[in-house]
Amino acid sequence: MKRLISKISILAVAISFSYSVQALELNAVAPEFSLPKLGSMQSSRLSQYRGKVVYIDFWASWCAPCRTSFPLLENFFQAKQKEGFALVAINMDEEIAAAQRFLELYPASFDILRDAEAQWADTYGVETMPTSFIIDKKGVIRHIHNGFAKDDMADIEKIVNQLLAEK
Amino acid sequence: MKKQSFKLICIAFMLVALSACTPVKPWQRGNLALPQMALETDAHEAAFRIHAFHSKEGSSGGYGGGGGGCGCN
Repeated sequence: MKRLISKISILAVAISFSYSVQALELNAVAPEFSLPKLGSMQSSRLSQYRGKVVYIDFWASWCAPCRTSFPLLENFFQAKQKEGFALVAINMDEEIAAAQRFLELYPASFDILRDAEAQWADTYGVETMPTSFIIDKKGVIRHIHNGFAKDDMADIEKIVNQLLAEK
Repeated sequence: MKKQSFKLICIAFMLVALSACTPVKPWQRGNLALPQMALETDAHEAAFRIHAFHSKEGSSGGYGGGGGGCGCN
């Protein structure tokens, strides 16, 4: 009896601490999401961007690397949008006002969506803030980027350019 | 008998308390990212203080910095 109790307790402790992330893998088809645009009722779906190379960025206003990434991504988006590049930034802030204040400081012309329930961040298996997924013209995840540093931009540009060149 | 029931109560309490243990998801770390949550309020000052500490103690490491304790790094 004593042993059984201690075994059950150990098992319960182990289960309560277990934490698994069901992250998406490379070459998997990106799950189709439908999310509202920030501060609006109008929603966007991933399939709307089919035929384009899509950069999905999960971000939050409090995330320091996002302050680095936003201006760089904005420049890149401006340069490449005519070639079929789409950038979708999915905001994960608890308060919408925080996201809006961030966007006043770091303006962005790309689509900003809001995943208030964190449903899609969970489905995509976001492990860090920010996490980005580069999706090819067929809707397949070709690159997953955790975090962001200034020097990462060159790699991202290279990958996007390669995918834009694909038919 | 009394001892065993006390144990059972303790275990039951522990199991209930465990429900509070939940992993914080990356997007739930907004409050943890606030400046007032930082262990060091001023990163520059902290770096100087750690440097001086290492020089005095002839030790280094534990804060992510490398070196052999010469006080020159």
